[in-house]
Amino acid sequence: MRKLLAEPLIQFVAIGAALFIAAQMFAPERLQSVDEFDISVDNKTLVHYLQLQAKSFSAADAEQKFLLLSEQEKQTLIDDYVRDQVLFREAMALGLDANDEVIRRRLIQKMEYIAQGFYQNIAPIDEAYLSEFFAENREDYQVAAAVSFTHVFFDEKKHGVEKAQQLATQSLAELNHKSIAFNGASQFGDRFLFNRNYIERTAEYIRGHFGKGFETLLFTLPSQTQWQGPFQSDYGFHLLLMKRVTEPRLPNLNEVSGIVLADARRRQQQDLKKQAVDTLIKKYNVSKVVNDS
Amino acid sequence: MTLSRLATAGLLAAAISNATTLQAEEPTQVLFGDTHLHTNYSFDAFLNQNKSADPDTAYRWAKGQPVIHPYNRARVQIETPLDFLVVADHAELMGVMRSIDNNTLELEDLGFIGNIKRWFAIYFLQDAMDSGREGSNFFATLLPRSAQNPGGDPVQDPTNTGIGSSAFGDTSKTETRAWNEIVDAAERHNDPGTFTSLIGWEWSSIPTGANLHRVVFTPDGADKAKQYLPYGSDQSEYPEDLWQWLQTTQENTGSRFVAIPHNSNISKGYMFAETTLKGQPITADYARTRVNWEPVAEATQIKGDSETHPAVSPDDEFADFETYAHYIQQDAQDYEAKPGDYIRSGLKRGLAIEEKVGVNPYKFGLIGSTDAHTGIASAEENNFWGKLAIDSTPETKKNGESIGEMKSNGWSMSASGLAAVWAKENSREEIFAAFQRKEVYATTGPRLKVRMFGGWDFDTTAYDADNLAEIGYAQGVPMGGDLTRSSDPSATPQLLIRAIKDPKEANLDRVQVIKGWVDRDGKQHERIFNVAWADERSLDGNGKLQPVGNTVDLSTGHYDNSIGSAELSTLWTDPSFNPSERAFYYVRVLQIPTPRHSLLDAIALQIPAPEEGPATIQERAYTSPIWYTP
Repeated sequence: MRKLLAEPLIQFVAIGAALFIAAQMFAPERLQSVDEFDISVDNKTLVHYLQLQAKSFSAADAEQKFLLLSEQEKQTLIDDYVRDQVLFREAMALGLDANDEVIRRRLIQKMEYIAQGFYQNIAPIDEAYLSEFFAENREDYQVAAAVSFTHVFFDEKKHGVEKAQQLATQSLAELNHKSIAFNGASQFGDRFLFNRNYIERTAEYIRGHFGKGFETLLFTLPSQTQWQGPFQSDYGFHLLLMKRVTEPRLPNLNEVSGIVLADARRRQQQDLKKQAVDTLIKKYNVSKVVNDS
Repeated sequence: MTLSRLATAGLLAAAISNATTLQAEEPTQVLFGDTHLHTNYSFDAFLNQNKSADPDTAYRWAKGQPVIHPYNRARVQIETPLDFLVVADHAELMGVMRSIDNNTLELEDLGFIGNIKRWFAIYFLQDAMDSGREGSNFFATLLPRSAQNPGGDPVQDPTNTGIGSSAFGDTSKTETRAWNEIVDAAERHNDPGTFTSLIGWEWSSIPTGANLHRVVFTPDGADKAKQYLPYGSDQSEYPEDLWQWLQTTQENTGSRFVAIPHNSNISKGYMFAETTLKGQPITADYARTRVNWEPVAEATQIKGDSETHPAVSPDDEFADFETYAHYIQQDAQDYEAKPGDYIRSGLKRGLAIEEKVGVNPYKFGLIGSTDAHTGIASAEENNFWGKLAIDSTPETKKNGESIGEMKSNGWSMSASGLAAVWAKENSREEIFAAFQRKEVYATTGPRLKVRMFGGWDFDTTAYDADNLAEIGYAQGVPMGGDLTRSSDPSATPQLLIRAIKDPKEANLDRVQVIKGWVDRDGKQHERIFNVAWADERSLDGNGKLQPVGNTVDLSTGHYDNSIGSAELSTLWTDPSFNPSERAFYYVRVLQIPTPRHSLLDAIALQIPAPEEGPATIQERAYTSPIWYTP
C-alpha cells in the first residue's frame, strides 16, 4: 500500500480525480454556452435554478412550482438567473475564486476525502504491528485499581446512629472471636440495600454504594483475615473483611486485544492519510523565508 | 496465532475470570443498557449535524470512555457506564448521507439524465449539509404528510409517499458497506462478562406520520448478520411484512431476532390498534405472530413517555409525565392521545382481544431506551447530550427552529430511557433470553433496581429477606411471567416487590402497583395502588398519598436526599381480585423530584424555566407486567 501511494500513476489518478470534482463543481454552468458572453436560458436551466433557490430537494416539486409561475414571476426568475450567471462568470474571470478562503477550504476538504479513499481497502493489521502499537501505548489501557471485600452492616435508620455503632462494635469482637470467614458474613447484621460482597470493584463504584469518602478509606485498609471497623457510611456502620486491593495495572495484550485492534486500525488510517498527503507535498519545492524577529 | 483467534482467546479469558470471581449473590443480576441508539450512519442523524459520532464513538461512550460530541465538539463522558448497547441505525438510506458528504457513495449508472439529476442532488446535499439549518430543512422534506383519510389504512392513503429518494439510484452497495461497518464495530466491542454489544437496526415505517417504528436486534454475530441487509420500510411499511422477513431470514440464516415497537405515543392510535394496520380484524394467527416477534415494547424515550397520558388515564395523578405531542411530519396537526397510543391501554386491549380470539397480541414486557441520534446514549438530566446533535446545547435547545411544522425543540425532549435486564450474566445470549421471557423493565434514566415477583403464598417476611430474589424465583414468577387460576379457590395473587435507588442519585418517593383487567362484560379497567412509600405519610380514604415534597432549589438546581427512602420493599396482596377475570399487574416506582434538564439549562442561561416542561420531575421505573389468566 505504501509503495502504491508512491506510484506516479496513482498520484496522477488522484490529481485527475481532484480536477474532476472541481470541474463538477464549476464546469456545467460554463459549458452551457460556447461563447463566454452568451447566456442561454431554457426551461431545464430554470427549473434547476428554481430548485436551488427554493432549497427544494425534489425535482418534481420544482417543476410543479415552475409550471405554476406567472409570466411576470418567470421573468423575475430569468432576470435573477442571468444576474447570477453574469456575476459568477465575472467573478471567475477576475479570479476571485483563487484567493477565497471558503472555496479553498472546501477544495482542501474534498482532497482530504480523496486521500482517505486510498485506504478504503486497507491491508489487514498483522500481529507484529499490533504488538508494537500496544507496546507504545500500553498506559492507555491501564486497568483501574479495585477492591474485594465482604461486610456486615448495621442500619442506622433501623437502630439509630448510636445503637447501630454499639451493635457493630459488639459484633466485631464476636466475628473475630469465631473467625467468621468470607461466606459466613450473611449470618450477621442487617440487610444492606446494595451488595453483600464486592469483588474487584473500582473506587467510583464503592463511592456510589457507600457515599463519598468511604472508597478512600477502603483502599488504604490492609488485607487481613481479621474483621475491621466499624466504619460509617451514608447508611450506617460496617464491619469489613478485606480480601484484597488490586493495584492499578497494565494489562496484557490478549486481555484488551479488541480495543487495541480498533485503535491500531485508526492509527494506521491516520498514518496512511498523512503519508498520502506527504507524498503530494514532496512534489513541491517549499522555499521558506521565515524570519525569527 | 492468528489475530482473530488471539482476540477470541482474550474474550474467553475475560469471560472465565468474570464467571469465577463474580460469586453470584443473587440468581440474576440487573444490567442497564440502551437498545436504541443512532449514529452518523442514520440519514436523519447526519442531516442534523451528527457527522462524526460513529458506532465506535457510541461504544466508547457506553463503556465509560470520554468522547467528542459530534456537534459542540466538547469532551463528554457518561456518569455510570452501560452494560450493553444496540446501535440501531435506520435501515433506510443507511450510511448514504455520510457517503454523500465524504464522496464515497457507490454510484450506479443511471443514464445521462439520471446521472445529472443525481449530480445535482449530491451537489445540493453537500452544500446543505455544510450549514446545519439547511440539512435539517432537507430532512423535513423527507418527512411524511398527514393523511387525507384519517383512520383508514395509512399505507394506502393518497398522501403517503414512503421514505427515501430515488434520485441517488440504487444505494444498496453503499448500504451494504455501511451495514458491514456497523456489524464489525459491534463485534470489536463485544466483551462477554463486561460489556455486550448487540447487532441491530431500525425499521422506520411512518405512513402519513403514524409512527410504527421498530428496533430489531439479534443475539447472533457477524457471520450471520452479514448474510442479509437490514429490512427497511422502503421494502414495506406493514409490520406483517417485517415479521415475515424475520421469519424467512431466520429460516435461511439461523439468525434470531426481537422487534421492539417504540414511540407508540405518536402512532395516531395505530400501534396498539383494535385491528391490523390494513383494518382487518385481529386473528389468533396475527396475535401469535406479533407476540412471537415483539415480546417487549419501549415505554419511555427522548421523544416522550408512552406509559400513559392524562387523556387516556384521567384518574392517574402521575400520568402527566414527559408527554410529547408532536407528530413526525411536514404539516401541522393537533395532537390527540388515543388508547392505541399508550402502553397501559395497549395492555388492556390485549386482554380484551385475547378474550375474543384466544391469543393476546399485546402481551409485552417494558423497557426504556434513548433513541438519541448523537451516537451518545445519554438519559441523565444533568448529562443529557440531545436528541439530535444540533439540539444538544442550551442555546440550540432553546432556539431550535421547528423541523417542518413540528413545534418541538430541544426542551420538548425528555432525557429518558434505559433498558434494565435481569440476567444470569452479561452476554448476548443471556440478554436475548431475558427479552424473550420479558424479565426486563424500563427506567427514565436513573439506575433504579426493581424486583417484582408474583405468587400466591410467599413467606410473610420475604420482603425484608436478604435472599428476596431466591425466594421470589422459588415461590413465584418474576416480572414478565404468568399466573393462572390457583387450585385454592380463595387464593389471592401477591406481589413481592423491592425497589432500590440509583446509588448515585435521588431517593424514592413510592412504589405503585398498576392493575388492568377485563370484566365479565368485556369492559376494560385500570386501578392504581400505592403499596409502599417513604416518610411518615398515610393513605387517605381514596387510597391517595400526600406528595413526598420537593427539595430542588430552583436557582441552583441542587436537591438533597432529606426526603424519600433509599429502598422500598413490600409484599402486596390484591384486595380486589376476581379469579374469573383476566388481569395484569405492573409496578411503577417514583423518585423524589429532581431538576429537569431544561431547568438546568435555564439556570445556566439565566432565564426563567422554559414552558416546554416542568422545572422538576419525578423520574420513574416501570416493570414488565405479570399476567393472570383464569
